[in-house]
Amino acid sequence: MNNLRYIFSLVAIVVCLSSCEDVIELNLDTASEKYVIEANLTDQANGAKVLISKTKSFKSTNDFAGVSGAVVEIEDQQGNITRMTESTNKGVYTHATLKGTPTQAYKLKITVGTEVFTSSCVMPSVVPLEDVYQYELSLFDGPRLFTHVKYTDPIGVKNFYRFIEYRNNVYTKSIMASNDEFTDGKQVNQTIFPYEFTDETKLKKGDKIKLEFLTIDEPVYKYWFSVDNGAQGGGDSAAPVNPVTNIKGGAIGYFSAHTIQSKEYTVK
Amino acid sequence: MTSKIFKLLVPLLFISFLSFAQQTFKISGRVKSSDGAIEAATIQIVEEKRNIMTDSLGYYEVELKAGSYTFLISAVGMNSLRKSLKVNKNHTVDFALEDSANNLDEIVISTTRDDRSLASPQMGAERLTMKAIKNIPLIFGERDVMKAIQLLPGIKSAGEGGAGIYVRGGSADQNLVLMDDVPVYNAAHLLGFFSTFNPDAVEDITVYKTGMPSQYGGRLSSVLDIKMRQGDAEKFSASGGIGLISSKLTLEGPIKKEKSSFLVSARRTYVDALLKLSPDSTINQNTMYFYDVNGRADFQLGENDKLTFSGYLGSDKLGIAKTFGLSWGNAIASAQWKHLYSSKLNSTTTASYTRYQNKIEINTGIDNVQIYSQLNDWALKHNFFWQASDKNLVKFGFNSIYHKVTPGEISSEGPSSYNPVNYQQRFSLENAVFASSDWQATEKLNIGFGVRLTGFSVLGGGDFLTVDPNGNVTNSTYYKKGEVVKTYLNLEPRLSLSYLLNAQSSVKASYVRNAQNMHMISNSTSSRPSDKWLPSSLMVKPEVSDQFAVGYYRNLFDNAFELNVESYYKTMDNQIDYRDGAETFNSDNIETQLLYGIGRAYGLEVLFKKKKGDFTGWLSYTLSKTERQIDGINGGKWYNARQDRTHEVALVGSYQLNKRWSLSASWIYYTGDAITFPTGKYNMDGQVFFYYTDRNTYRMPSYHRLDLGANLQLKKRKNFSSELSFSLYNAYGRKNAYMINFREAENDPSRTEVVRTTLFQFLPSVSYNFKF
Repeated sequence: MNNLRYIFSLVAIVVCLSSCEDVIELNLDTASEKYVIEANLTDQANGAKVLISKTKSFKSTNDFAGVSGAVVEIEDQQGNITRMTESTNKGVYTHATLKGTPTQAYKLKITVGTEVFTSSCVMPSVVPLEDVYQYELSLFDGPRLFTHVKYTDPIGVKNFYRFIEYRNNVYTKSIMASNDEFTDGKQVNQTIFPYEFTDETKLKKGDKIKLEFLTIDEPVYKYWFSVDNGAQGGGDSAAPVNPVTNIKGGAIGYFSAHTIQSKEYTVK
Repeated sequence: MTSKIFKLLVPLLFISFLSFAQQTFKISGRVKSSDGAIEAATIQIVEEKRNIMTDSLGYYEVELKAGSYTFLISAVGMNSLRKSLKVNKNHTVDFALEDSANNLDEIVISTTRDDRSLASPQMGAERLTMKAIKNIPLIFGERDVMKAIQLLPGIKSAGEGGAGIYVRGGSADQNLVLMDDVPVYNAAHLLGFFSTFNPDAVEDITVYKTGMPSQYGGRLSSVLDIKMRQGDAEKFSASGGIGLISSKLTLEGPIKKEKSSFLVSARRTYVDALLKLSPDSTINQNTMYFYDVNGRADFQLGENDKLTFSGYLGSDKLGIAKTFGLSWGNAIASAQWKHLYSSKLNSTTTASYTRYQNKIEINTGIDNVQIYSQLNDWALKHNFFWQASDKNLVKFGFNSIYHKVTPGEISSEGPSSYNPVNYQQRFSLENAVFASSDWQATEKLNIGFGVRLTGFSVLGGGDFLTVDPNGNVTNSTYYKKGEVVKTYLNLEPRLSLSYLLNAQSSVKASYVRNAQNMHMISNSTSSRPSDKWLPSSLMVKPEVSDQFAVGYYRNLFDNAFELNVESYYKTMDNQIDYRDGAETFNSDNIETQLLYGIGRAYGLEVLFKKKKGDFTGWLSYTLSKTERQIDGINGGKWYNARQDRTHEVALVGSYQLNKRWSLSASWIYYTGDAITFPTGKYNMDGQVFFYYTDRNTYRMPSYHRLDLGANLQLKKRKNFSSELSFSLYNAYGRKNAYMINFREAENDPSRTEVVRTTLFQFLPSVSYNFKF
């Protein structure tokens, strides 16, 4: 129930009306380094991309060096193995022609140093993206425009979606994933919520909005859904944990084989 | 508050006749105050070193040999009464106690009875009256019982300004909150900033942290027995208060003088008004308020019967513009009949109905959706109170509750993205029989033993799942409506001992087992109205706790001071938590999202009170440890529960400056909650993500705060009195962390920063209270 989760973050804002924020110093330990894998395979050319990096200490700067020299392989259902090549960007592994086919299962294998990480994922069927449009809603901070996404959920099967919004070519960082638990077979108008409710995140006239619409499988949905449990550093989860990964071998991150469609519009 | 008039209801008449040596006589009667009968008043027969207690209708009975005796009668919030009696025949003697608030020398703050507390085997119990709470500064100036008890040792606040509590390592849902013997499921208003208890309608609260008498059961960590006020049977009066964020009005009076009375009390907050003060012009479209109404009628039917009807209705409304609406609330109705079979045996029968519901409305114009959930309880409780001998008090009875849980219904109007959903309703029947005896074994040794047998039957209809340890459904069986799916039996023994070392001190020990079959699991830090109650099922087993406690109690300087030291060790079985990344909305397969484990808690609690004089108050200190072990969390290793706070100190004082002014202050300190902070960060999805390792290995910054209060009694006129109350919450403006978040630094995205959110600094409040 995506909307529900957002209501409660709004309620928290109401409560914080008389609150104030300040920056403090905390002494945080540093856990031993972990590999971080962000692996995507889409139904489009140039969509196969695997990023490998490592965790850092909290106090260090936010530049995350990629890990080179890994062997990254994707295997399709017929047993064809494609090895991805490291691009000029350290730790970024791509393949120009590799693309997935909906309903097919894919396996990922990454060998880096002495460690091996594996995962598998099914690329779901395409669900046509019908429309992307602006619509005004009055929420806690007054009326504001929200991007809405219209699609018709296929009846009788489980479907999972992810929405990625770009505003003037910049990713808004709002992580939105949904399932069809309550919307099976319905025409859905999904509201895209901003990363945070500030004046800067309000859509303004003339903004160019691009929305990517992904169909994902259940473990990948679980990953994005559980990002809410503290991965972005906020929220009121009593016990923050890492998102639930679908990668075996001790790395954090995910392997997602998904379909992707996109639509653009200009805010009026 | 207004003075009560001392009334001697029955003059004490004694006629000296012949006295027969060795012959015993029966002395019986009632203890009353101007408000009515006093339950559990203590009568000490000084020469015999014997203590007897009045029953729930205020009656007592004792057999004594002929002779002269001193009776010392004491009760909570009342001035003690000392009477000399010459016994030479069977007598009926009534005692009338005077309200201690009359007497400026003895404002009762905590009200453990003068001497009885030493001899009684009951431990881990504290009682606070509304009069005592008046002398404690509290947030928003609201005299909230749930917040006042947080100043006692072993009871921890669940969060800044909140009404939720953790008792001796238990979680927030493990407290049995009773409003006139009826359980309240969500005792919080406004996300926990207020409790459901309107201070004007509350008489007193008794908290049991251990040694719960066997008539109480169903929750693991504590019993909060809140008694509501009975209307004045003598005269009509109106009282009320006007505060910055809430106003209250109470009407009470006789229906038939001295025979029956009523009380109606209503409260409404207007937090919306605060929203309107916001500089943001769009904010005043939001609504945020709650109201509650308490009503009670008491009928004395002859000498032997008393009938009480009471009801409560409360609701919170929260609206964000016209787009989202959230409302929730409790409704409670009960009828209670007290009957006196003889002076030695009486019974209390309570029939009650409880409803807790919660409704969410989403109206975006595209989607109009309602989400609704409800919990209903129908209960019957029958208690007997039997003075088997003057040294043995026996209580027994039964308690039956039929639970119906409607976990969620989604409906929509017009075209909508949502399908209607009805999650399966859950039905269960909870039966308990109990018996206990308080026995004065010797002059020095008192023994309390009791037992409670609980049977919890999970009833159909619906599908019941079995789930493997990985959360996969292994079987689903349909049961017909009314069919018994499973019955859990739990035998809960309770034992307590007290031994008087001398007239001023005693030692006590106790063991208690509790079982809980209604569970609430929450993974957020704030109390949310959507937190769901879940009955035991095939997979969710009854939670069970065992607690051992020992204590030392001492009265000092002629009972002006009191020292209590208690230590406990508690284990908890079948504790429940969510899996990582759990989806909690779907109730039909909620069991696939749960993990089970155990818990333990131990600690030392010290309470030092000054009970007499112009200056009264207490110092409480708690040293404790609370841990959980759940397979699938923290690698199966023991970890600190969130409410694990090593040290906790509360210092509370009130000073009667003169007849008009009284001043109060409280200071609290505690070790920060155990919490999980990141131990690293990484790049994901083009942003910084935080990396977590072990659970709850960090601490929130330590918490401390000073609150100040003052009451000014305004000029009294005939039949009218009023007062002004001032309070200042967090007087030195300590920035206590409510939340700690992590983010990219606002002015330097190459760095990450730690952001502390503070709720209330210097929160003043003023309220005006009147009575006529």
